This record gives sequence, structure tokens and C-alpha cells, in this order.
Amino acid sequence: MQTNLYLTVFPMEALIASQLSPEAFAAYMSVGARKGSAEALIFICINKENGPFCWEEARQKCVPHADGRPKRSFYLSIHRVLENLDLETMGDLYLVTRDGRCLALQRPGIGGGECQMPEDWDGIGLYKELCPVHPLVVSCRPPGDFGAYMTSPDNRVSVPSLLFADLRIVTTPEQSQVGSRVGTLFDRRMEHLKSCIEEVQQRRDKGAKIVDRSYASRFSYGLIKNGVYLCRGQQCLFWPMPSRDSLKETAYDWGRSAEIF
Amino acid sequence: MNVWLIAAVVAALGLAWVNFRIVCGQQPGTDKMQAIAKAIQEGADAFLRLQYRKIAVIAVLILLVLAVVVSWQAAVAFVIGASMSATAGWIGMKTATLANVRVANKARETESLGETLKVAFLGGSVMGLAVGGFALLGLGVVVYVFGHLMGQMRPEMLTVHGNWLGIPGIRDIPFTMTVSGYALGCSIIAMFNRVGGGIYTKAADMGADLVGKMEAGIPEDDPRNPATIADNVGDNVGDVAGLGSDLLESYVGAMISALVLVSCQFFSRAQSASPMTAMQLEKLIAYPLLFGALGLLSCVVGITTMLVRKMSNRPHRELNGVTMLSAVLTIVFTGIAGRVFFSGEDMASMGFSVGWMSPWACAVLGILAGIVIGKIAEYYTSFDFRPTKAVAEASREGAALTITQGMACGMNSVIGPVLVLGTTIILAHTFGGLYGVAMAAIGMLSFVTVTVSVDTYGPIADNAGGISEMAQLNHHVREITDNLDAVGNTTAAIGKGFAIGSAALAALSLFASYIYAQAGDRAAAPDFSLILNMINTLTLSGAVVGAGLPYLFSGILIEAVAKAARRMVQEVREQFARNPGIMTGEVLPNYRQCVEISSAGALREMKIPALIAVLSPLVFGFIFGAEFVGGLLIGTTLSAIMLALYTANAGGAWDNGKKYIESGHFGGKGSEAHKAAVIGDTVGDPLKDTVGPSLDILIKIMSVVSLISVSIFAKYNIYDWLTSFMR
Repeated sequence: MQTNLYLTVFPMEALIASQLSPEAFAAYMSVGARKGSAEALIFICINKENGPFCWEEARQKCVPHADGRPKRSFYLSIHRVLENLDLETMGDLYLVTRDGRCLALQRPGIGGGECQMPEDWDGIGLYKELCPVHPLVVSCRPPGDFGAYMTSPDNRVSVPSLLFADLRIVTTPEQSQVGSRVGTLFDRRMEHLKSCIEEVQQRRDKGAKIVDRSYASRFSYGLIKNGVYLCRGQQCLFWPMPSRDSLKETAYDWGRSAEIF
Repeated sequence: MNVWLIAAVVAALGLAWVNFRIVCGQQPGTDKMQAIAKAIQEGADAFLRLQYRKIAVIAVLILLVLAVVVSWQAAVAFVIGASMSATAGWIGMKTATLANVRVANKARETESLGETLKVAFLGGSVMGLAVGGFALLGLGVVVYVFGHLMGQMRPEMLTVHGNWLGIPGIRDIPFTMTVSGYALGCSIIAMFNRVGGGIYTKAADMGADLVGKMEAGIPEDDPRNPATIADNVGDNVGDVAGLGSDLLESYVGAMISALVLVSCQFFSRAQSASPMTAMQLEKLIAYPLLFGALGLLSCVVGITTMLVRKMSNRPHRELNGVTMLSAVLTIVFTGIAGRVFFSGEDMASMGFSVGWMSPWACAVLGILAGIVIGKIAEYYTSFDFRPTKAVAEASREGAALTITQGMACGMNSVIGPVLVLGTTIILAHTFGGLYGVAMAAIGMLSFVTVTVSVDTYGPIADNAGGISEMAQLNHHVREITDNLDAVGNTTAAIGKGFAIGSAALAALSLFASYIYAQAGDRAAAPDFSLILNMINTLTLSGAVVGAGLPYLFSGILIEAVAKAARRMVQEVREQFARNPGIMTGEVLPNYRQCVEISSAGALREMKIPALIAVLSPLVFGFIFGAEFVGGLLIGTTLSAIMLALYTANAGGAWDNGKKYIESGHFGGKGSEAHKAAVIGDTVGDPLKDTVGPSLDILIKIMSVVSLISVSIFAKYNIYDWLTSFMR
């Protein structure tokens, strides 16, 4: 049985070795254990052993059970994992719904224009930071710049690496009309969101403004606009989110579970 | 008249058979789809079989009481009524469980909304045609055999007769008892089907939603949800069999209210200065049946027209079209028939103010009133209009305000239909006296066949959506079935408006007959007048108690749903906790266990509410006497109409308010507003699908039971005995 490596990035950061396929791992982690609660999960496949982790122990312990069942999880680390893994080894990223269905986002490559400046960039970005910190922020920087800014050692409050998603912005009731599915972003937080946007627009020197310190439980995949980004300085990985039409054709069941359809 | 009646029944049941064969001839889809459909069929069959077995025990008891206390003719008519209602419900449900998978497969094969709509409507039309056909068949048999052949309709027989066992003081008009027996048979089945089906469907629905959707986060009809098959079975036993029996009962109730009233009036006016002639009697009894027959034929034409042409992709327009076509044809055909039927009659002496047109005009008033009440229901329950949007908007502020706004919407929705009903009663009475009011009720339900067809199509489409989801068919299929289902929700709310409106009008006619029956021989006195003395303390007290009765009835029903739903919630939670493989899709859940829980819950809980309806007039009658029961009927009728309108429309507004949010407004799915709206919908579910529809059956069961038994408790009651003892 092949051993796979998974980096879970949301809601907790961990490096896990497992003999399950990504789909089975997704189902097991979200709903498959008696102890488990139903919650959304994001993880990345790691293609190669790297970083300062106990690889030897993992090889020894991640073996099938006596009755032949595969080993479902062996935790290598649960702290500061992302920053210690080589970006080159990052594979596909999986968005798992709270009922265990998963959508694989293909990794196109490191760097590149689309990561720097989305086609529909309108001067304001709303970002949900996924790992290692979790706030919801607005910024007048496009995703690539924002990632570089947040991971720059020159920045007083930086992290070594940052995984985040850009979200759709809804600030008027009209924008919440049919099809927008803005979920928890609408309503009570709308006025606050508007004031945060105004603040970063007026103070261009302000790199980012926190909208919500912890947006973990209310974050939903339906809010993701272009995709998920992983930045480390000038390096940037981008996993594009399929369009709604494409999701409808290829991942309708996942879309229903994610409350997109 | 007989020819038209036979032609209508043969045409309706013949077309039902043809449509049934066409439905069966459609391809049932993949193995997986067929396996799911089979599980639904087996669950529905098993429940209805068990339910009918339970009802049979109670029906035999009622049969014996009727045979001993009233007459064997009433007892036989009761059996015919119960058989007609049960048969229509069974056929409708059977067809729906065969049609659901074929609708899903048609959507899969053609990806055409119009083609799929046609199969769904075909399935629904079998139920509609069975309801119209069996209701008229049974009534025709009862009237022909007991009325004509056995002579109960002969003028000399339309007088007060003693009990066949010679029990002193029990005196009634035999024909009125026989047709009332027929109506009671229909009502008993309708009550059990509605209450039992209502508890079943809502327990399953709430169990599936509260744990599957809310706690586990799985979508509607996901095969991993243990309660999903039970939920789909519930649609068939509650929304198909229950609805069919309910509307058949409403239709029959409206018909017999006119027949009983005419019989009572004939007896009452026999000694007056202007007695009703035998010819007039015959015509006034025949006209409601003729009206029903022509209405049924119009529906046959309407349904056939819809099925032979190519359907557009606009289901709402198509369904409205067939309803309107049937209504217009009914108006035209019955107008011509009225002109021919009453030509040469002295209509003024019968109390009609606009000549031959009077009974017809009253029925047309009923049709128009039904349409207006339906439109008002649509206004308050469709998210195209302000009230339901307001409920959705209130959800932004949390569940408490969703519920408050929904209650306000439901309460506001009552006054419109009530004003329409009041105006209809006044106008119908002006044109045709109390007979005119009964004709208005008949008019309102004259195209019941199409109403039921349209209403039944909804749960079939809903089931087809469930099967598509469980069989994981592609999104085009599910979009088609979702689209059809959405239209079904609105048509259901409109159908409920018709049922409630006609129940109110029929109850008024039955109430007038009750006063005639209460008077007994005195009704024939020249100075007899039809007066209910509300100042009488017994009548007033009866009205007060009667107004409270629907609340008790509703409370027990809601409690019954809650109890059954709690058991379902516990089972689903337990299955998920016991076996995580269910959620990962490795293991199939135990669907059968959930089906059994719903079934057992419904069968256990349905008896008390149904018995309240049957026994309360008897218990109060034997304690306080006929005047108290007169008040009781008025109080119950008024209170039940308000409560039925309120529950149906508030529930509809909560349901569609949630759907409005799900379509993307106020944050869409997953938003705070959506969570609040889901709570509102859950609160509204038992109100609109269990309580509301059962209340209009309650009114008629109480009226018919009172009518049948009034001559007994008018003579034998504790209150009279005590007061005579104290004097």
C-alpha cells in the first residue's frame, strides 16, 4: 500500500502520513471517525518527503493494520508545518465539505501573472487567511502582492508562508441577488466590511485591515472568487477555483454539499 | 341526468386507466433508480396497508352503530363512501409511486422540461380522475339505489320517520341519513389519511432535515441520509393519498350538503303556503349531480387537451392553462345545462331570484370565489409577492423575527378569503337561498379533478427530484425536477385555499340541515323558521367550546408530529454515530428502520385526533343536548376556517421565504438569514401540511356526525334529564 503525505491547512495545520487515497482521506478526516465532528477541511497533497520531520518513524508506523486495513493517519507534526515544507513539493489542494465530499484544485505552477493580478481586479481584495493564521482581511493589494507583503520579513506582523483565498465582495443588497450565494458575509457584517474597505482605500499605505479576527466557522467555499494562493516572499502558488458552470458540469454533488447549488 | 353522470364517470375512470397504462409504459430508468423507487413503493404500500387495516377496525364500529341507531341503508352508504375514498387514495398513491421514477427517467433521457412535465402531470391526473370519478360513482350509486330504486327520494318518504328498531324519539328523514352516511364514509378515510399521512410525512421530513441537513450538513435527498426514503414515502402517503382523500371528501361534502338541504326544505315546506313540488324536488336534487358530472367531463376534456399537445417549458403556465380551461368549460356547459334543465320551471316559487340562472350563478360565484381565494393564497405564499419576501427579509434578524413575521403574514392572510367567503354567501343566498350557498360550494369544487391532478403532480415531481438526487443523475435532470417541484409548492397552497373555502360553504348548508334535523317534526310546522338563537346560554357555551376545539385538535396533531419526529431524529443520529461508514458512503444506511419509525409513529398517533372529530359532537350532544352542539358547530366552523387559513398560509410563507433565500437573496444558503429561515420552515411544516388540511375535514366530520345523531341526543341528554329532575 502506498503511503501518501497530506498537509492539512484548515481548520488545523498538520502533516499527516496516510495510506488512504485523497478522497478517502477527505471522508475519513471530516466524517469518517466516530470521534470526528462534521466540519470543513482543506488539505494539500505533498509529493515528496522534505523538511525537518520524522520521516523514518512515519515509514515504520504508517503500515497496514494486522487485519489488512490501511493506516488512516499518522501525525508527523501539528505546528509550523507549512513554513517548513518546500513549495515545489506541494501538489493538488482539496476542499472538503463538512459532509465529506471533496473537490480537487489542480496546481498549475509556481509564480505567473494570474497569481499577481487577477483579470477582474478592481482595486480591493477580500482575503480569507487559511494557514497559519485565520483572519479575514481587506487589502488594496492584489493577491500576489498581498501574499508577498504578508510574508515579507520587513513587515512587522508577517508569517513565513501564507495560504489564503480571495473572496467575493458584497457590500450592497443588490449584489446579494440571485446566484451570488454570499453566505455569512452578508448582512450583519456588511457595514463593518464597508468601513474597512473605505479605510484601506483612504490609507493606501495600510497593507491590510482585519475585518474579522477569526472567520473559521463562517467561511464557506461559495465565497471563493478566483482561487487559493500560497505565498512565500515573491514565490506564489495558485490553485484556481473552477467557475460555477464548470463546477455544475464536473462537481455538482460537491457544489450541493458546499451549498453553492 | 343519469346519462351524463354515467358518461362522466366512465370517461373519467377510463381516462384514468389510459393514463395509468401510459405511465406504466414509460421506461423506469437505471437499475439504481429502480431500486430506489422500489424501496419507496414498498414503504408506501406497507404503510397504507397497515393504515387501512387500522381504519377498518374503527370503520366496522361506526358501521355497526350506524346500522343499529340510524339505518342499514346509511351503514351501507357509509361502506360505499369509505371504499370510494380508500380506493381513490390507493390508486393515486400507487400511480404516484410508479410515476416518480419514470418522471426522473424522462428528464434523464430527454432533458426537456415540457416532456418531463407531461409524464408528471399524467401521473397526477390518474389521482385527479380517480377522485372525481369515484366520488361521483359512489354518490350516483347511493342516490340511484337508495333514492330511486328503494324510494327514499319519493316525496312521501321525505318526511320524518322513526328509528327502524322503534327506539322512541329517534326520528329523521331517511334519505338525508343515507347520503350523510356516504359522506361520513369519505370523511373518515380522509381524516385518517390526512392525519396519518401528515404525521408520517412530517416526522420523516423533519427527521431528515434536522439531523441530515442541519447537523451532518448533507444536502436534501442525499442517499447517505437514513431518513431520505421515509421522506419520499411520506410525500406519497401524505401529499398524494392524503390529499386525494381530502379533496374527494370535500367534493362529496359539498354535494351532499345540497342534497340534504333540499330534502329538509321539501319536508319543512310541505305544509306551507308554497310547498315544493315533486318535480322541483327532483330537479333540485338532480342539478348538483348534473353539475358535478359536467364539471368532471370538462376536466376530462381539459386534461386530454393538455396531454395530446406539445408542452412548453413553462410548467406554471401549462398548469394554470389546464385549470382555467376546465373552469371555463364547466361554466359554459353547466350554464347551457341549467338553461335547459330549469326551462319552464317557476323558479321564483323555489326562492330563486334570477330565474333559471340562479343555481348556476351561485355555482359560478363559487368558482370565482375559489379562484380569488387561490390567488390570495398565492399572494401570501409565493415569493414573487411582498408578504413572503418580508418573511425572508425578517430572517436577516434571526429566527425569532422569522417566526413573528410568518405569523403576521398568516394572520393577515385570513381576512381576504373570509371577506370573499362572506360576500359569496350573501350573494349566493340572494340568488338562490341556502340552496344557492350549497351550489357555491359545489361550484368551487366542480373542477376538483384538475385541482387534484395539479396538486398531485407536485409530490410526484418532488419524488422524482429525490430519486435523481439519490441516483446521482446529472445536474440537468435535477434542475428539471427542481423546477417542476417549485411550481408544485405554489399549486399546493392554491389547492388548500379551495378545500378550506368549500368546507366553509358546505358547513353552512350542513348547519342549516342540522337545524332542520334538530327540529324534527316541528320543521314541518307552518310557523317554523330557521333560527339559531345565539342568546341561548347553551348555544353560546357550545360556540365558545367549539371555537376552542380546533386548537385542541391542532395541538394534539402538532404534538403527534413532534413525537414521531423526535424518534426519527434519535434514530438518524444513532445510525450516524454507530456507523461512520454511512457518511463516507462505504455503508448503506438502514432506510427500513426509519420507514418503520415513521409508520409506527403515524399509526399510533393518528387515532386520537380522528376520534376527537368523530366523538366530540356525540359526547357534547349526550351531555348538553342539541342546542349546545348547534353552537359547537358554529364555533368550530368559524374557528377552524380561520386557523386553517392561518396555518396553511403562514406555513407556505415560511417555506417559500426559505426558498427565496436559497435562490441567492440575503446571503443565500449558509447565511445567517438562511439558518433562521430553515427554523421558520421547520415550525411551519406541521402547520401547513398536517394541521391546516385536517381542519377542513374536522369541520365536515363534526357537521355530518351531528346531523346523523342530532335526533338522538336532542331526545336523550344528561342536561335535559337533570333540568327536568330539578324542576
